[in-house]
Amino acid sequence: MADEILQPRKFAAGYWIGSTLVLLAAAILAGMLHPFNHVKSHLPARVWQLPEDAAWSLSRMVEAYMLSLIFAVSVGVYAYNNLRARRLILPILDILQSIPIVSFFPAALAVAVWLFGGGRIGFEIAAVVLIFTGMSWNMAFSVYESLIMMPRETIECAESFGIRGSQRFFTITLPVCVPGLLYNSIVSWAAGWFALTACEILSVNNQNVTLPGIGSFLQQAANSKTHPLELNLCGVAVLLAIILMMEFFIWRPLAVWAERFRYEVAVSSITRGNTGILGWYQRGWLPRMFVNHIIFPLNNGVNLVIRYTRGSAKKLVLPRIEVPALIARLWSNIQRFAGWLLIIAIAIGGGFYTFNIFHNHLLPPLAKKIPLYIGFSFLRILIAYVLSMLWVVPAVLWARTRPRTFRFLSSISQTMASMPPIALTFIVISIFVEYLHLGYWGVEAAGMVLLMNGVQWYVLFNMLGGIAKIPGDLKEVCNAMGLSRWQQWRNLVIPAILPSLFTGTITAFGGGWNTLIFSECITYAGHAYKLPGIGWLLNVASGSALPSSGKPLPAAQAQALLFTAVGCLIVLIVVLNRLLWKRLQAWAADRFRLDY
Amino acid sequence: MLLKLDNVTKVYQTDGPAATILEDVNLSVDSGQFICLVGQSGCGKSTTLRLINGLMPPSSGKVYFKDKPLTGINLQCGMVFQNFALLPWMTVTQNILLALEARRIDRPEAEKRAAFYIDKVGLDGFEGAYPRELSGGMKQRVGLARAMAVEPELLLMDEPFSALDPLTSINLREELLDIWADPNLAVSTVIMVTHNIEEAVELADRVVLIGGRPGHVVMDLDIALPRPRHKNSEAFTRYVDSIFSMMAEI
Repeated sequence: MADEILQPRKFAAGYWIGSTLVLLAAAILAGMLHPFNHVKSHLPARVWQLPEDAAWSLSRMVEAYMLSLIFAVSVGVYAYNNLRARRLILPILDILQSIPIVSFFPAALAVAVWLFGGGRIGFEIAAVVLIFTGMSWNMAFSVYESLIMMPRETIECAESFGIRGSQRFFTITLPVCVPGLLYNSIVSWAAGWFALTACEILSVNNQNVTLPGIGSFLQQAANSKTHPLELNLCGVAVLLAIILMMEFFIWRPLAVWAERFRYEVAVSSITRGNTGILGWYQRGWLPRMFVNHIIFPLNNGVNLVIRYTRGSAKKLVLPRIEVPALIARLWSNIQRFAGWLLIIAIAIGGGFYTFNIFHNHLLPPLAKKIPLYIGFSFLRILIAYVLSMLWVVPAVLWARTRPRTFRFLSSISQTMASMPPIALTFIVISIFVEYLHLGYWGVEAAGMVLLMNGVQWYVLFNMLGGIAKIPGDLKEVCNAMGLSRWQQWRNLVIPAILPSLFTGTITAFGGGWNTLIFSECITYAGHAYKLPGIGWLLNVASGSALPSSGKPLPAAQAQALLFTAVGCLIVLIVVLNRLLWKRLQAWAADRFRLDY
Repeated sequence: MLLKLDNVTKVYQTDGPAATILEDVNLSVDSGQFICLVGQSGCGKSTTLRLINGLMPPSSGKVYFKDKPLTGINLQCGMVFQNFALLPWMTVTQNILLALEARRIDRPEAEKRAAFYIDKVGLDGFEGAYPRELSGGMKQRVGLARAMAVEPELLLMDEPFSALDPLTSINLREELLDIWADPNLAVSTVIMVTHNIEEAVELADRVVLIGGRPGHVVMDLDIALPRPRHKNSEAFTRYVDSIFSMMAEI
């Protein structure tokens, strides 16, 4: 019998990290050597460039999504395996998830310009990274949560049979994350479309860089003085077409396929009855040809390589993975201090910059209005939230017993949540301002509708999910007891969906803060409609023109304003989340839990 | 001597005071025996099983397998779990193949073995079924087939029948004894953890009672009854009573 010698397992992750870093460095170097120097900006927007624009936007979205996927799986698995890292990563992800996308703009743009010197590729990468910041955080969370819900027995079984390394990753770790990742991917794509429109027109040093894409098309269509309505309709139609096609050809079949990875036996009613397209993917002649002639040979080839490189191990005792003690201690010390170092670095950097601002009186007088504007904006979000709840709650209760309505509401919420505000500006402005001549309150109403569109779908989505989770036997018991509809609502339904309500509220407010930039400064047909609020302030700080002087702020002042405004906003959001929403959510999740 | 636990102690260290689960456990198991570990919940029987498998190292003392101290996970054991531990997205065959692939066994050989053991546990025809399509008893058969497919010398079972209904358990117990007695199958020794005393007396050559806080071996009883054993016989009842009374005294 072959004997074993205890070998410490090499730190395999280091290999992957190292090779990724090398590839990344090579890519950056290549970009720096050949920057795309011609920045395309087409005006006026021409309709026949729409397909090309759509392709550009879609490619950016896909790149950002791939990046998010890799990030989410790596960070989620790392946080799961490493207790110390977990304590640092989870709060950071939480904060990153709550702050509006606009906070990342200055950093991303600064790095892009610094690395690529104003070439187009720098801005393309910056756009992709910005979309990534809208997509990735919730996916990372979902991976982590899926992993900690894995039954203990599965882990012990894998250990006992010696299943580890890449085999464990591909057959156990990754599959368990699939349902959560799919749901969060849908949400992330919606957020991504949202961010896309902001990311395609970037302002750097008071100059506007326009990247070709649907977002910039819509923006220019809104600004066009000649055919705003027609151009907007075309752009929105193309965007809607893309979103719907993705829904039918990608998300629906994937959702049906992802059900098999659930540990719970529940079959979601949302996905039943949609096996048509998935069936074609699995059995149609074209996919079969692709799989048989390309995927299978590739798979067999990879398996052969793996088999030859792994060798035949006749080990009878599998050594425990042991890192040499010295390295383990060093690594844990590094991790312990890394967190503190990061916080200290941010504090020092931020403190220095703040000092610089106040010392050089860089803040424009507009900055004094920050608290007031934040207050206005918060009020608007609150009103939008209340108005949303007024129709979402009855709709959800109505859809509870009607599966078709349920499915319809789910699809609509997914689709409409992907509609960036810019796609709707022309409708609301036309109705409230031009048609009804409501003046300032018309603009407020228009902004409110845009804000609601950024808020309500998240609440709807989450509450629909909460309804689907109510166990069947509780419903049966209520029916058996002869409870009236109202009694059922009061005693079963509303308590059961309360946790989802608070989760939805957190995401809805997040969406609200993100939407503000678009709902408080609406441009249409060459005219800019403004509402006093933090969204408008951030817009000004990003380089758009002031109403009083008609000229944008000088760059240093704008930067200082942006920094201060974003800082105040982040503080408010984090405090609100921690002190209010998270407490309510934890209370609801504990008081109204479904397992006992 | 196939397996020997020598003054094994296991201490769990979490954020707080250390909890000593097992203290000075001594156990010797010869090849060919059927041992049942019994005791109340939380007495450390499952921990003992995991120490035997090598899933965790003892805090002090040593585990000897074939006279050599165990330094890692013992791949010559196969473990059957209480809640089946099947991957829901893999078929019956794929679940078994997973364990075989982990041993670097070639695909054709692995498929042959999987088919053989699926047949052995009586699941012929269900090779392509997913766990959600199977009953509890069938799922546990898959778990048993998977543990046997790696052809271990030692079969470890962690309360394998406690999640099943009584009739299914009766059937599976008989099949387990047949498999254990079959000279053509690699399994020669079985260590089973259970909280059902009657099941232990019905199946085992030796019943080891673990109890007390911290857990240690309270009683090591040889069951000298010929198989098949009759639950209504006097000798059987006497064995069960002696174990029960010892348990009550702990």
